Amino acid sequence: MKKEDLFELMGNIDEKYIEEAENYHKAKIDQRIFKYIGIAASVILVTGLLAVLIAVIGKGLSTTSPNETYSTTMATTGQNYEATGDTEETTTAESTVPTEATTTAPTDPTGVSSGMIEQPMIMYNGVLYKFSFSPVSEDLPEGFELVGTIEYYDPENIPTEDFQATGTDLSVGQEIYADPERPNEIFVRYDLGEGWTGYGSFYADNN
Amino acid sequence: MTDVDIISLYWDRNEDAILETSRKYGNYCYTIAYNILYNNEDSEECVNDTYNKAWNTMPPQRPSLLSAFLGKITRNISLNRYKENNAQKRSGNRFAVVLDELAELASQDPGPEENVIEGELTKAVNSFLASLPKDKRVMFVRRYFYADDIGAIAKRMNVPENNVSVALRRIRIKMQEYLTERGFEL
Repeated sequence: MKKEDLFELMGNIDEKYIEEAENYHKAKIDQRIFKYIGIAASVILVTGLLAVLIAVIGKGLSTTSPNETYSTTMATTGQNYEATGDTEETTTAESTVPTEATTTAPTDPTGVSSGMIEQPMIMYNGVLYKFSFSPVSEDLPEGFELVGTIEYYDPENIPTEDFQATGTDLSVGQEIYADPERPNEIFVRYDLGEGWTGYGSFYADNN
Repeated sequence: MTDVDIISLYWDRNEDAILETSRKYGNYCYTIAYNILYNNEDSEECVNDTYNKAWNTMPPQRPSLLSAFLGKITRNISLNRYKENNAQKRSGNRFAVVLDELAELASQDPGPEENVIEGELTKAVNSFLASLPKDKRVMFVRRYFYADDIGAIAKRMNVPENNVSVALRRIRIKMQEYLTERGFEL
């Protein structure tokens, strides 16, 4: 058979194969689209997981570095933030009672509702202890022993009874450690996530 | 416009049939012609001849796949033009490569051509194509029906050109074995 005849013979193949070969490229593009959809879904999933991971880590960091949260505006006492209606904060330096404006409870730039007390405070043995701004330590100093847990938490009022607490990052059930020989300081145990724990220092408010 | 609508125009002897065919399948037919002739002017003439042939064959024919129907017409017309050009020593070399590849299918000791019944051979070729994986079958049809060059096939299949060449060679060997086993001596 001549080669031209062979080529002519190929012209007699089933039309479905002719059409299949003509449309194959389009089918290939469709498959690519599915592939890209799969990749996009994977990227979204990974991004979501990363966001969750960052949120968890961020939460842990905020617990270990309270100084950054309670910067200069919380210098002396456990004051409240008043709602001002804008993003600029004003402080009521010596006030220990939430103001009326706090009832509107807008959210300030730190993410804490105005009217809520930010600085962590705990009442123990008749003394009000305030967070010291020191980094949370992984180790508990020698001599400090478990004396109880936070039994009541009120985000808007200063504690008035033992084992009551207020402020951010405190909750009922957190362990309190004290050393009778060092009454000016207590420690509170924090769960930092993923098996990590730390001890935050609180100092006695003598004012 | 759907293929059914276009075919209806032919059957109604409406000259818009040519216009609509040109709009939908003009590039398709031109590509087939150009792959064989490698010449713009000749290819355009073959495409126009395709429209005339379609006009003269519909009716009575009513093709189920208009694209394949037109493709076959274009291919036959272009092949005839190629033979004419080849006789006049003005054919392109690219399509000659396709033919040389097909020549590998021919037996070294061919029997009398009368013994090859074209209808049965076509059935055997279709049966062989059915046995191939889809991607290999597409490669084969693109090369030996549409006369695509290797680069175009590689691009369409999203594989390196070397892969296409190797695959086509293997398919040709398998096809020769397949046909020989069934008593066809090309």
